[in-house]
Amino acid sequence: MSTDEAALIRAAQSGEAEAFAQLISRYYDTLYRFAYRWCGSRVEAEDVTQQACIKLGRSLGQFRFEAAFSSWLYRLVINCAKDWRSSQQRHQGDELTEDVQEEPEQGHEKGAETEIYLQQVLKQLERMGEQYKETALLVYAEGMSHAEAAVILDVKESTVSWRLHEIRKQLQLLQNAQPGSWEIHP
Amino acid sequence: MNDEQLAQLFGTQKIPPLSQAAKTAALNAAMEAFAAQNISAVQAEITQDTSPITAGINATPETTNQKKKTFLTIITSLSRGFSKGSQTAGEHTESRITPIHRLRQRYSLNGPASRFSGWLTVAGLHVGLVIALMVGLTPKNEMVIFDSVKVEAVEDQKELIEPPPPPPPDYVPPSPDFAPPPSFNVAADAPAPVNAITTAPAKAEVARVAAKTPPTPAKVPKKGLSPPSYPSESKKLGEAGVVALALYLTAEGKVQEARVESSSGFPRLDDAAVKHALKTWRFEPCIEDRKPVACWYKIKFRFQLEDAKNGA
Repeated sequence: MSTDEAALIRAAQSGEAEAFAQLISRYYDTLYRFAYRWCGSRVEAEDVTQQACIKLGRSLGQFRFEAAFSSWLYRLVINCAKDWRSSQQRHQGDELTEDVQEEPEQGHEKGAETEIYLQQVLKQLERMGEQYKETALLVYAEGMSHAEAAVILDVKESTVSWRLHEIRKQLQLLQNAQPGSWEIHP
Repeated sequence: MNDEQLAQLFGTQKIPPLSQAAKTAALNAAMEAFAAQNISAVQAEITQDTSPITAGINATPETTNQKKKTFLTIITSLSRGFSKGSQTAGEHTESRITPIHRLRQRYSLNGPASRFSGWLTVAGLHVGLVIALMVGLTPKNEMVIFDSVKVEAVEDQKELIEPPPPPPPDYVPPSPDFAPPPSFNVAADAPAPVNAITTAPAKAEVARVAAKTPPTPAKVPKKGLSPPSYPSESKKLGEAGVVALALYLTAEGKVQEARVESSSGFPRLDDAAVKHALKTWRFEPCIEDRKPVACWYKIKFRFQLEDAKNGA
């Protein structure tokens, strides 16, 4: 953490609105990007980012400089995204699938295959569970080391490595998937 | 696929440009939350900074004991300071400054105060302590503080949680287009026989029971039902799930209408099932009074990819 950043955080913690505004403007894009990767939908990501910003305004005083500020923010967004998702599932059912499907519709342009496969991977992560998804997003999408991801997720580094191993295994199975079939359940 | 390839794959993800309006709204909401948090913090600070007596009066139930202890500590420390008289003045270097020292500086107690005035002040503070303990910490005052805290919390909740939208209405299958067979009472139309008391009611009862016999439900034909094709995009994306359909079958057994009762979670799969059912299927119709009639029939499909099927 740079001295400038630390000074800005301290100023915001002491109640300077200008410092807080500067701080949140600096990190908004990061929050939104990660929220989008988590949610897969722009609208949902914007809502989650807004919740994260509000939470940041309320709980900035709790940041103790024990970890990187960005790590603390990632944790904040993950918590907000989980809360948001569970509230959405309670009230409206699972609408994620609809949003995710928006992406691969332009199937003829260059790179469409990659995009379709990415959606397939994200769907698989969704099926595997949130802990796998957050691990993959932090390491593969945000480029963090296993150790950094472990700090954010509050797990051991070996747990991060194991989860990634499981993800690779499942994705390998997905790649070898055969055409589907159906069954009747009268 | 290794870590590097996966990182590359995630790197290709297109993040849609963020909306400026959403960003502005988020920043405004955050600033409001920040301001509200600061106001609370300042209020708390003001409460702590006021005189020990006021602190005792404003104490919430959770902090009452703690504040009592703090108050007693302050009193004891002040007493010690005064008992040392002018010797204590100027002794405190910056590194040793504590809240008690600050309090003493604030009330100009580090000057050349006489022992007498010091003791007088201490006596006054003791009286204050007694008043605070007897009067100031009554439940009435505690409730005032509680009420204000509660109101803030409720307002916060309003900001955060929007009322959930009403749940979608349950699907109610429409009534069939066919009219139910007219019920008639044999006993009413029949001429009254001589021994009507014993025979007529028995016949009427039999007719009524026969009219209430439930229809035989439709059946899947013996040759089975043809499978719908798995949408190719669904295969690519690994979409799978169970879709429940409600089919309205004609007296001939054709599917006249198909509605999704519970979705697989993938509209593509739901559509494939509905279209296929409408286009190709034919059932053995429902039978009522030995005659085929139109009726509703429920069926579930499991769209399952081979790898998942084999793994299960």
